[in-house]
Amino acid sequence: MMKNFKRQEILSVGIDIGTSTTQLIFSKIILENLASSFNIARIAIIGKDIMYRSKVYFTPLTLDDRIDLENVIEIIDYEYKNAKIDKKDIAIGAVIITGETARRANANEVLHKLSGYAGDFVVATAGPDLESIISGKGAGTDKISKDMNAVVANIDIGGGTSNLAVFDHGEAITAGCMDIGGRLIKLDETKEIIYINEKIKKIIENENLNISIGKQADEKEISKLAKIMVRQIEAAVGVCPKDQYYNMMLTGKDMPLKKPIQYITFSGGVADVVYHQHDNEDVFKYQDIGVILAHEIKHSIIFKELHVMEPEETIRATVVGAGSHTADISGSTIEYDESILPIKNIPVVKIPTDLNKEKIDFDKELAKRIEWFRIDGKQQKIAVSFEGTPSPSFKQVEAYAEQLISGMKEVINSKHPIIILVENDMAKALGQTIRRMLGRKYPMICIDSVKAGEGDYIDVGNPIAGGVVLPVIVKTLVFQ
Amino acid sequence: MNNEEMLKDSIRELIYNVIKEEQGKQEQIKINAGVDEIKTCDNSTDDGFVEDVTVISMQDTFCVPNAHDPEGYMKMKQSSSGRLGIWRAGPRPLSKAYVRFIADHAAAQGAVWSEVDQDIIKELGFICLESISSSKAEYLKNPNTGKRLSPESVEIVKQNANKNVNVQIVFADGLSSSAIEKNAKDVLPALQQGLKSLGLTYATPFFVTNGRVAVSEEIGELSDADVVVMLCGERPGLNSQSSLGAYVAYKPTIGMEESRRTVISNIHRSGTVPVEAGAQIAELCQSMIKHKISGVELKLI
Amino acid sequence: MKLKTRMFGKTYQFKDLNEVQAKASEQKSGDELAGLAATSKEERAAAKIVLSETLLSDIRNNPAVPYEIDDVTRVIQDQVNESVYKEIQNWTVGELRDYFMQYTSTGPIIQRIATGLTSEMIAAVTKIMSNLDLVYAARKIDNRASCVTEMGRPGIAMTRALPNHPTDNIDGVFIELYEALSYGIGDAMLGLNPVQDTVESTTYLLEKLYEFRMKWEIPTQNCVLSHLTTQMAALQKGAPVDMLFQSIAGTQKANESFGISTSMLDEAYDLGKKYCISGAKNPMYFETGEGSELSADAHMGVDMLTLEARTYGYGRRYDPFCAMSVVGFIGPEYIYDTVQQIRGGLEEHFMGKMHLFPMGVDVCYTNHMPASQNDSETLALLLAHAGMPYFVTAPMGDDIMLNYQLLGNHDLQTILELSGLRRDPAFEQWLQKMEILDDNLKFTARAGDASIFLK
Repeated sequence: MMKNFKRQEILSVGIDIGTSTTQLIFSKIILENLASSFNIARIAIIGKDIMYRSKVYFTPLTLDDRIDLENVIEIIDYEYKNAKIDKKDIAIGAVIITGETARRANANEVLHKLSGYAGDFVVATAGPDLESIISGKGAGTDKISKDMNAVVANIDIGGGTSNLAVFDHGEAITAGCMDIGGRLIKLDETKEIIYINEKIKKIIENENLNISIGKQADEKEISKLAKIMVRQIEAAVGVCPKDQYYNMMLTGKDMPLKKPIQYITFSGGVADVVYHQHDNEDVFKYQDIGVILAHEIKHSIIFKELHVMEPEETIRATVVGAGSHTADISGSTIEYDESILPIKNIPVVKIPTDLNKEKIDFDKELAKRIEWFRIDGKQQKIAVSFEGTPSPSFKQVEAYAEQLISGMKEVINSKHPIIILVENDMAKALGQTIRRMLGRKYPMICIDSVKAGEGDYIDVGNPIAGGVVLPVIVKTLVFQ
Repeated sequence: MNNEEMLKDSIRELIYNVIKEEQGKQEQIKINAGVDEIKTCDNSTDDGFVEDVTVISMQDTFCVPNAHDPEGYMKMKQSSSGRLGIWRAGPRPLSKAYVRFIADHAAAQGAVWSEVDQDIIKELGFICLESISSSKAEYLKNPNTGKRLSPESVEIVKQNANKNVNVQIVFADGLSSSAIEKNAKDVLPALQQGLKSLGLTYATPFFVTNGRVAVSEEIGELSDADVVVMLCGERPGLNSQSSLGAYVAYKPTIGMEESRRTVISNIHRSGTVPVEAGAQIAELCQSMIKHKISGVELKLI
Repeated sequence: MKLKTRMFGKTYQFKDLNEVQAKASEQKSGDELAGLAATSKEERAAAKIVLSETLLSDIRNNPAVPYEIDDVTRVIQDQVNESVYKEIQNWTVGELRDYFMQYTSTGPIIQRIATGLTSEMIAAVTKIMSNLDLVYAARKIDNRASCVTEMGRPGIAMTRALPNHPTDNIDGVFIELYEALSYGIGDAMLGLNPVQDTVESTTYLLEKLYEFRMKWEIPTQNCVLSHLTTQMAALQKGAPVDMLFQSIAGTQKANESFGISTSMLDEAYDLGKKYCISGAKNPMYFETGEGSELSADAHMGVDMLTLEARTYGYGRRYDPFCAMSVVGFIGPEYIYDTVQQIRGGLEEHFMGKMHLFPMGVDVCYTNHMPASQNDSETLALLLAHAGMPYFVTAPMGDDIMLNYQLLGNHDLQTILELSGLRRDPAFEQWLQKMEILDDNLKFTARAGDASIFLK
């Protein structure tokens, strides 16, 4: 494990199945040993290059509005072939089902089938907050925020949802999602309305708008509706007060603004129209309300109150985020059994107490939390996460090991592997100590430099960089 | 929704509720670890302490009044332990920055010129040796004197060296006695635990006063261990007065090339974490014994 | 050649010129470690007396390392201006010293004489000069060279910002740069010693520095001090290199231990002239240090000061933009304490100037030397008086990567105010535009606030 590792490029895939479009990208993730030659390896991701972008497909749906898995697989197969990429070569990746689609009946089934299909360690992501951050990073908004040392928001407006992520000096501080998108009303070729989303129906009824299924789409009426939709976004970014529809339009929880937003970027399919709108174009050319929505955004007070910037990616922001910005790597001094890798979708139990203050509590606290994952008398697999003290003494490491083993009694009784995620650097010493106490044969993964919270799920892939690090995807379902 | 998903959802909800309840209590709990014991030096009838200027890290020190972007400044400062944002009086540094510098420099020089606390040597059960340097000044002016054992020490090694062990661990004060005082008690047990778990044997560690890295070569020849792990105090900096370097070699011989040593430097609380270094060195020993080489050639494998 | 003298009735006999040179050197631990130093103060004085009576032609004819076996000697001997040398070959070293001190020996006159000297002659005269002599003579000489900006103008003291970071973390590097610039530091160069010596990393850092220099329109030059071969590869791949750096030493063997040769330096010089984005007239930058030959086991029986002079003689071949000696960095086994550090700094500065390029001294010490910041400040004031063209500083003097102490960012402004020296005019204007300096060249309320570069 003391290999002379300098640099490695691994291949990553991102697949985004949205309300209206499906896309795929391949990117190279460049790992480098940043430590000087007289130091323990310190592997870091130093670059990400997108090497292939697929066409933008309409998301294939079956007649009963489910995702058409067969057709999605056909798209994926075609794009892999076209890019001349073998599934075996994919080290890491993420499939994301965004927007309204995520709530469709077979979304989870599709997600799980695809996650294995696209490559051995291509994982499914979920949760609107995570999607928001992924699309913000894919748009490059985090970079803009870092470069300008400013608070910058990205709003990814797709067919079904608008995902908001706010970055301060490059770090995500707020994320949220609203049910606002370009395909919440759909038309046929004759501009007859064929679908209206339920929440939109309520607004239409309440506002007495002349929009209903079977009728011809009317630009004026739809503009009125779009103005109301845009007002929700304005409220979310803090430039106008919240109205009676605000709470209804939230996908999940509200997104409190911790700091005033200074700059804003738009991504997603609708954003393309926001930045590059042409006069005299047919507003219904996409058989939806996307163009009108874009028009209303462009004339909203967001453009007056905030400085609007153009991001690196618009329509591809989410897929770029999924392909390039979901994977991370563990610290470089760790202990693990290769035989139990990869692991996918393991729920995280986070111990918030610190050992040194609450010596007695640590194992009891852990045992109590682990019990929540005992279903019908059967203990589920879990990963234990804690911050740990920075640069612990050997005595402290021993105490952590004792408390962890004691607290994980049920996990050990069920013969599940021990999976430890610690934030501060200590995983190798801690792992060796646990092994001394439990025996070398007990399956274990003990990694550091990984931050995972309660309610997160974690995936850990096969070793990379000569076995020095493990790829890790922490799936944060709710942003705290 | 399938069963698994429903299960996860309900667990998730449960967890949130519990966490919310708990959050109040937990917020009070803070980390209280690793802070070195404060030694008191009280020989007067004073009215209490002048604030300890050395406990706050350089990253958290900030004295610029009305900074253009204080938040951005602090964020950038997190990535450097340099003396940044220290401000000025006219063109000169503030007294706060000046006395902090004086304190850090004193500690750095102290680390060079002091001897390792005998209590620590006893506690760790080291067998004590010395080089042929007659004084610290000679040791500094003529590094070669730190590379050989005194005749008495040669005898001690001969008597105590346990033949047929895989690993001989050696500590030397090098250029920082405080590196030994601060780190040995964490590096050593982590290293020994690691060796044991890998099925490797080790002998009682030696400690060399006024010893340089190369003194481990002579010990290697006398003891006949497969691998000698030399843990030596590194030249102190203002921010790292207690940094240890590990110089690990397979079957070292007197006057061998530097390239035969594998080096892990910068072992201290805010560099390479001591317990992690110990655990890593154990694995390194195993790799050297397996391939029967060390240094640059080992890296090429 | 006279190799002996009597002093207070006692005879002092030296076996050759190298022994005279070594024993005439002021006390330095490195010469003692090598077994070359005078064994008593009297012996040192006797050697100085013998040296002062030595003819320049004797020194020319007895180079410290034979011409045949050492290309540093060949470079030095071959670049002597023979016409000038002919005029002065029968001078003694003592006469040369007196000549330098004459009121009529102005800078240009000394610069002309310098073209007829070998490095060993310059080392010899240095050994019979007091500290004040070294300051007085050096002050007369202004050697100019140019990269993006010009260095070496009279009355100007520039600075190199040293934004080193233990892992080359880009945020860490830049906050240190911002801080330096906010104290008016950086007109000599923004010069980073990287940890990673790879082409990729060097290119990345050069690009970042260049982008920054362009964005803020800073009149200065950048340098990433990786190995010369790394910088050349980066330059060939199109990296924005302003000048090429290398550490050099005073014997061929020592240079070989640095992984360099004359043909490599020749190639670098040509490459720099052709491709450096600065369009530099003088695209090279050298660093040196007394004791580097000894630590590479390549001193060939020659004292440290003579080897240091030979290093400058070698560097002169490439008309560098500037050179810098790291006087207290190499360790107490070479430069033991404050006395040796101050002496060494003054000697190196004078000898550098006698080699006709802008010479700086990194006024510094390590923590295992009996020295302190007070001593560095004393030396800095002396060097300011000696007309040193540029200094190097770090935040509060603390280099967190190389773990040694140099001058602090605050110190330059203090020195300028005390000595009446000024920064590079273009840089001074830029600092005023940035509202870091006021009309009287004093700090404004913004000076010392690195965050002015954050937005």
